[in-house]
Amino acid sequence: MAVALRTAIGDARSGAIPSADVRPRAAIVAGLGRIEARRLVRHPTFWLGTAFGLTLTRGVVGAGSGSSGSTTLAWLAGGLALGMLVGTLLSANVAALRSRRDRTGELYGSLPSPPEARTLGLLTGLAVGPVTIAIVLAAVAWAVFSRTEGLAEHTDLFLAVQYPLAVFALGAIGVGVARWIPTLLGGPIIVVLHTMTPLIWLVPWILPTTSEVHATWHMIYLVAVPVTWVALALARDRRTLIRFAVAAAALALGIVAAVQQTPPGGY
Amino acid sequence: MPPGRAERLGQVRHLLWPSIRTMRWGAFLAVTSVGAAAVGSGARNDADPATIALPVATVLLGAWLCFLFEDAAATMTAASPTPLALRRAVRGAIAVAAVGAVWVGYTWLGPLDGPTGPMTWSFGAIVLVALGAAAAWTRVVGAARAALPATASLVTVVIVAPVAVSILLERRASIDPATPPVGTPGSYWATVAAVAVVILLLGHLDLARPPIVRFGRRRVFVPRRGAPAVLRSSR
Repeated sequence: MAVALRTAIGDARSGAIPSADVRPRAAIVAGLGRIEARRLVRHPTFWLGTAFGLTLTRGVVGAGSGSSGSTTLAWLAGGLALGMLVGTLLSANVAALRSRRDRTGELYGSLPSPPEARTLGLLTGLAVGPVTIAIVLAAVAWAVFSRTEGLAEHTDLFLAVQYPLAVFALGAIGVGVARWIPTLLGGPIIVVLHTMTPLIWLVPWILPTTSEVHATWHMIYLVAVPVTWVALALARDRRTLIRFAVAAAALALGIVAAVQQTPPGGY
Repeated sequence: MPPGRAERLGQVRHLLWPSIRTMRWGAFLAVTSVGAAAVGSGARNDADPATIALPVATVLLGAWLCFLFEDAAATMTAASPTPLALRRAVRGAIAVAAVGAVWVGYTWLGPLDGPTGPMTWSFGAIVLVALGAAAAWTRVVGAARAALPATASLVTVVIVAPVAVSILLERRASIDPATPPVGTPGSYWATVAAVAVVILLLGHLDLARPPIVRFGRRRVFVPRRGAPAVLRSSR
């Protein structure tokens, strides 16, 4: 059986079309990014995730009787934010798995662009689509929260910047996980792992300044996570030492930042 | 002549190992581990894992079941003499046994002390909804892409719909199997399971085989007099 497997792998490798060995061109990445952005924000997973997040938050909060307007507004924004984070992760994961599920990987391999162009295109789409929506939402929430009594003291630029960064980070996790664990179950597993285990309390994504989190280390953490996963996703396309080194360095920095950002008494 | 019981048992025996071999056990291991971590940490701060963590872990197991009927070679295997229902029954029996064993293990984690009635009802309903959704979506979008909409259907039926119905009825929203949005746990989960069974059966109507129930007279092609010879000779 081992010999048969080795022969099959050898045959597949010898028959496969070698990928283009050129640098990805910016125009191609930008073009792919526009297409991927449209596909990401139109995908039912993205909107259903957001709608589900809102519904579940509404269910958790209750009818709102006895709670102030500012509390309801905070929960609404939180539900929308949480839903979009989950929707972005799942839709990015599905998008990164598209070629594998359609069995078009070898066909794409015959294109003059290298495989990295498609990964970078997807990540650009993530930045152009969900992250842009997140920036708009964060700006609106900042403007509204700043004028709302009870929320103004928790609202600042630090809080507003975290949301788009977290959306990009979770999208990058979705892409990276899809590249290395090529099953649609990867997305739901990451969501449950993140929301239903103590991981969410160890490394929270979005925190106000009043939580006494170390702001600089938290921002470093929010940058280190997507860098790790982008490097890992690109390393799957072509295994080079530099990509694994960048991923390892960003992972180490992310771990240090996760430890350093914790307030003295914990969250 | 239709195959007898011995032939069917022989087919089951032959299907057993290939079915086990082609199931996604790596994903099952990951799902099991994450579910156990979720149920284990659901007891944090004296919380009851049976109310949120266990239902979520059960839905994750159900999501794995949604992938059970994905088959890239479905159009080729549809012409096999072994009926679709038998092939899927073998696959389903193995998967449900594995999922059931893991789920019973979950019900003993942390402060939980074994499966209760509502938990068991909801587990049965979730398994049937997952299998029903997988079978139905296989018909709608094809056997290679059914898992994603099936998983979305499962999450909708088991998590989102109870919360949405509770909101509409102005009741406390919950995904706890013991507090369904309407009726008693037994009646609610039995209704969900019954609908899932109907969908599961409809999803297994085998297009490549004669129908189980035939409505109306069977139409037989009879070429008209004067038709080309090739049609007449095919009678």
